[in-house]
Amino acid sequence: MNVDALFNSLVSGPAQTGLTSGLNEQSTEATNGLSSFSGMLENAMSSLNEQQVAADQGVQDLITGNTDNLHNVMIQTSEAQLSLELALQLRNKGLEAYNEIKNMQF
Amino acid sequence: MSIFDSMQINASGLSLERLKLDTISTNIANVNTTRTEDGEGPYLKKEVVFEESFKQVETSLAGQGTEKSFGVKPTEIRENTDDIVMEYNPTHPDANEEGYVQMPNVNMADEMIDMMTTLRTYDANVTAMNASKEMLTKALQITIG
Repeated sequence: MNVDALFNSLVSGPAQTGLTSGLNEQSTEATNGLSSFSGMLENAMSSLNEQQVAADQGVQDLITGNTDNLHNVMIQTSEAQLSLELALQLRNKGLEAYNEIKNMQF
Repeated sequence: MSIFDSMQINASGLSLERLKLDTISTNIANVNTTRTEDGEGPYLKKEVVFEESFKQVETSLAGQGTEKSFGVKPTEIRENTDDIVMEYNPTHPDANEEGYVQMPNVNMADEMIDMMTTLRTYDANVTAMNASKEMLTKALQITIG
């Protein structure tokens, strides 16, 4: 989880549309590959999905007898569970911020 | 994923303890085995040899390309050749001309103690892993409030 990339993509997202031009020109070069907020979110979601699929595969391997390490499967599922919980918390926070802005009165 | 490092470190410990228990099981199963596949002497007690494992890291915290201790790894399964006892048993099929049989150097009491140590170490690794999981879960609760 790269917080710097998250921050840079957050601040450079609107900068590219010209809304906050002049605020931070130096941060755009750090966002190669993560050019937009949605792109970054997509990356995070796909890696989250990969982890879920890996945990699923681990359970399947255990049942079919392809693996004999019970603890590795348990660790994989724990990692997948924690990653999902992290994503959930990030979603909650993002939604909270969105609602905060939505309820703004001018 | 560096936040799961502690779990992976304990996972190497768990794998090692599994391997140790497998060798202990083999030793106990062969406690009376007087012949082996190669036909030379009795069964020899097997022991797992292991060492600290290292991993290349490129974090800014530890500097560029340094080695970081990353759990444990087994290096070999060694056969112990000490204390092969000769037992007098002329009716045994593997007895020599004088009626003595070479018995395995497996000591049942030693194996039981090794087994308990292995079990407790496995337990400790699981406890440490649960602690790291609890830490991560607690960290996730920071956002709730």
